Amino acid sequence: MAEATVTRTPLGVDDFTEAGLAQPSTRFWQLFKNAVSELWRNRLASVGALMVLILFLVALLAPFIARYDPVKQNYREMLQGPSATHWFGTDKFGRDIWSRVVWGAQRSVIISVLAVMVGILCGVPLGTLSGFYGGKLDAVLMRVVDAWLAFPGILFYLIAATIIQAYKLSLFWNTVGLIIALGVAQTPSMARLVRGSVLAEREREYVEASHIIGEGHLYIAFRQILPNCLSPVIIQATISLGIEMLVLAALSFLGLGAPPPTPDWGADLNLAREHMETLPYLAIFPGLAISFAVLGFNLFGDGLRDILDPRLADR
Amino acid sequence: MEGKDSDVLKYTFYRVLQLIPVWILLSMVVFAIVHALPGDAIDALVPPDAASNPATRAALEKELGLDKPIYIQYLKWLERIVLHGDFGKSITTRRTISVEIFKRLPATIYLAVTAVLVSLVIAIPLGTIAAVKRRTPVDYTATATALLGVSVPEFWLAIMCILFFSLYLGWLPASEYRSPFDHFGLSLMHLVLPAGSLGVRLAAITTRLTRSSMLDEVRKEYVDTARSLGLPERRVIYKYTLRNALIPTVTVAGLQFARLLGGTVVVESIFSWPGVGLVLYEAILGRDYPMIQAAILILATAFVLMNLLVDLIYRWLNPRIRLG
Repeated sequence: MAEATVTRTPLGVDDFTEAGLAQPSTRFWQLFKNAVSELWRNRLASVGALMVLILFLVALLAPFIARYDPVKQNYREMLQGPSATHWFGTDKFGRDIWSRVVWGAQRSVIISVLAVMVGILCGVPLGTLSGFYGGKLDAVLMRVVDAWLAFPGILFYLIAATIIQAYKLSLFWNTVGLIIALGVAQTPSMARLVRGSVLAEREREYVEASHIIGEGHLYIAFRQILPNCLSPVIIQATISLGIEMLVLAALSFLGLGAPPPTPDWGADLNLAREHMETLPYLAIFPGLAISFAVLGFNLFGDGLRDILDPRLADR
Repeated sequence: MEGKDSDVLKYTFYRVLQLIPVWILLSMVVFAIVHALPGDAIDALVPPDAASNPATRAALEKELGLDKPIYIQYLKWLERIVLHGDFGKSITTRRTISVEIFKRLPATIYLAVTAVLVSLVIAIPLGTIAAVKRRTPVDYTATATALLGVSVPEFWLAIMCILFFSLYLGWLPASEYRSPFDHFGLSLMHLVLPAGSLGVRLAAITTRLTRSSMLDEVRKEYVDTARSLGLPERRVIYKYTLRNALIPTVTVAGLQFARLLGGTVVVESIFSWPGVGLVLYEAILGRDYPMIQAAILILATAFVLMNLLVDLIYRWLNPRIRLG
């Protein structure tokens, strides 16, 4: 019976096949090979994956790639155009734009990755419990989610960032505040997404089988059902990374991000507005960086959707 | 017929009823802003010179009800807003907030409506062609362009437009607003860049949606029937399929419109467009908290009402949807 009811999603886990239990490393390798070949077939997605890879590498290697201190002012070299010494030119404080864009990448990546993780860590357990147990818990949670989704996101971000700003926190705590605000905002949609899949999954026969042999509820919910519901979470998380970056850039553009002189794409773009007539390149590079990063996540997320959720592949 | 009408009424009634708790929650969040700030609420609500004089400070605290427990403060605040439309006075300009904001609403609506129109004009043909020519270079190009459009932040697009069209080519003005009632042509010239940079991003979202709902629709049986009856493909696609596929598109366009009301903050600040978004931006810069509260509450209320309206229109277009 178990044989027939095993679900096979590309990244799903089935607890019933012997092969799956016996050789986890081989199985992982197989999954990895499958994923790579699927990615190769979907060209746009591989471009996206490559872009994301480049972004993460730049973020990780920022100290080595950046050629100057991103916050060091140098009035002898201010407002220069792109050249061999300053690839992207310098701003009105003589700071090297290339170095600022590179460090800005690190900041963007750290904030959006952590924010999405906060969203997953809060949303996934809530959604799983809500879908698995149903009843009052589910009713209350879903009403809260509904109310939340009726609230325009950008206004929430503005409120949160205004309040964080008012406390005049240090760079570290300011960033932590932004991460929490961005992450909390992700929680409801994450919870709803997981809840929907868990709701469908809990009616399946293998769940019934586990109930019959007396597995614990939490074990069934989190170890057996949840792994089969992770595909939409992975897709959503990838696309959310891009959205978080956009929101972060918009907030810092409005002066609600990190305190200066932190290298930040949105803040640098805002600074560049003063010199638009004379030095347009100041505005070009930070914006290109934002668009590159977000496009990468969108392409990759779209491709993942095709791979992980073949029902939607043709849409 | 009568049963159907009462159904619609019932649905409308329930949706309006559902709105009330949402709005109350919303107002609580907005009310809480001032209390979440560091320091006393009074410092956030009145100009610094008034708050520094102990006598006026005490009088103002009493007037605003800040000496009462927090739920009474909230109810009083709500009463002033709902019954009298009184948001208090701006800290920086000292003018009455409700007047300031309602004066600016038309400019925002003008911008948002145009942006949505721009997006539909781009998105519907592009999405339809992409769906009809599925899995051809045309489709891939349209899909990739749409993805690109979703990825470019509108404020950067706006800056690039200013660089290219105003500063480099000198074709269009880069800022300021002219009322369409004073000088229509000039007003349009000033509208092109802000509405364009907002609209392109929306268009990207709507194109993807049009494409996928067209693809859903083409698979339905009535399309096969129409084709087997020998109707020309052109007619099948444009007359029947597109019409049905547009229902979700138009719905999302409506939701986008609501979202735009909040999203204009950045674009309005770039183009010095005197709408509610710019008011909010200036209030944030000047730490004008009563103004921030009012602008956010009004934008959020507009958002919620628009959502309701779109929902009702959707239901009217597509009666199969039931109250869930």
